[in-house]
Amino acid sequence: MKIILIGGGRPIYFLAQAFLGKDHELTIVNSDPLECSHLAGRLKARIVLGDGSDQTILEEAGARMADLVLAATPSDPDNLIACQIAQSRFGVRRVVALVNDPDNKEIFEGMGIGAISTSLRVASLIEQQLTFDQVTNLIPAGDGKVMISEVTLAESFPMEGKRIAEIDFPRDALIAVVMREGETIIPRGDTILGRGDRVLLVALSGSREQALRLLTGHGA
Amino acid sequence: MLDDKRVLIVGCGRLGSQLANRLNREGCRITIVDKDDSAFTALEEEFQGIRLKGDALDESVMKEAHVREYDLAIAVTGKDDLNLILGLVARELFGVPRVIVRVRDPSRSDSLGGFKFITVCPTNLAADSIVNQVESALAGGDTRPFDNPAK
Amino acid sequence: MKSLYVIVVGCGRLGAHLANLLSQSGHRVVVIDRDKESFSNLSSEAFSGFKVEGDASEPETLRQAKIGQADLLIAATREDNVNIMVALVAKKSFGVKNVMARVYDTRREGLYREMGLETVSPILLAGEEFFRLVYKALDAGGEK
Repeated sequence: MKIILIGGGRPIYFLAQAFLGKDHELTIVNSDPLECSHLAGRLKARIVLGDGSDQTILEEAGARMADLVLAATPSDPDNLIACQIAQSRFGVRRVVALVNDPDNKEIFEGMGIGAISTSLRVASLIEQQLTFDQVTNLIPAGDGKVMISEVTLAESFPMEGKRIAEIDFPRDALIAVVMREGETIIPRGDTILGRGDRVLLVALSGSREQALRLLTGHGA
Repeated sequence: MLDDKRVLIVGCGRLGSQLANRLNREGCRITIVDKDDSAFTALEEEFQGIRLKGDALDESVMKEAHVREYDLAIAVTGKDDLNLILGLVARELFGVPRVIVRVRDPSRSDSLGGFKFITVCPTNLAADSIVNQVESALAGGDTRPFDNPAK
Repeated sequence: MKSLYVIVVGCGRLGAHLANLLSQSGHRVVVIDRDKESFSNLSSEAFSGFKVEGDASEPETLRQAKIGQADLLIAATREDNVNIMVALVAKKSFGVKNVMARVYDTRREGLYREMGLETVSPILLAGEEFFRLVYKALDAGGEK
């Protein structure tokens, strides 16, 4: 998919990593020159400097060909207008905005814009990452390129109730052991993960974050 | 109808560039001054006037601007005070017979009588336009959405 | 004359000027601005309405201004996107019948129309006025 992300800060950085981890073609629009050069140095994404709610900037970012536009600035008005221009001027089918004030969700949805309430989701998830106690890093191996971690599966997570084979798990990550109610299981494709399970995850650093996200619902 | 009229415009912002483009199409010979080079990108390709980069109060810029006589000077920088000074310079030093200045602060636009400039206050124009719509809607005993004056 | 309940969002030059004018002609006016310093633009003689300090792109601020009762909302902040969003929310979520948004970037006017919003562009109005005056000055021999 061709994806345009508008915004900056941690939300954009994590979203970008998540999308890049799935081989999407990514363009980030950011109005701060410093942050642009920072992002350009750290992410394999095209970076466009400018106001994402400006039609010419969106065009430059490739809005005509985009499958998804996600506006995640801290300003609801900017997100709304960016999404509105993307859908009405460039015919982008999927437009999603992070809504900073949950009260605004309705107006976004009324205009055909997918609304994610930041205060409820992304912001809290990102904060959780900082005080994350679900994951214990056990052993670094292979000159630090591989990490073995123990992960406790809690609340709801993307893999919950699914057979491991059904999941698009990163190639360079492996669920080696599942510990469930005193039992130790070597998982197979038909193993179903559930809440309360503890798993040993073996992952190369490039895939670790994506694997953790599937297991916990958030990154690390 | 305005063929070959010589017009000096100081300030190539949204208003200045809009005027420059339009007056250029009307056949005016324009000199436009802005301290920021990139402001001139708002001028159309067809713009045939002179672009002068620099502070309009700077002596060298003034000299360059003054190589022509002007029929009209327009001061539309972002600063009210500067526009007034520019208006005075144009009239007193350059001897430009007609001067129009933009004044953003409505309270000031009323107290400028002494300068005898023609002033345009966008704030007043917008406010008047809105108030007129409100009053005419009320006079009609009408609660329908107001008509847009621009249409 | 009927008195209207008017909400003016943004207390910069235009917002304050409008609030003064409307309040003076007997309308009930509430002004909203994020920055309470900007309320000093209101005239103590002309303005007898209310002030609400807050971000109008948060619906709660509009509720504080009793938007449910408003006959007219004028969004006149410096930011086009804020004006448009506030106007949309006023119209769609709160059912305000008359809504106007000030526009800086005239290229966006078409988009706003598509959204069913009335717009006022000081720049365009000033452009027209300038042009009229230029014609008058140059064509008719001018006035000094």
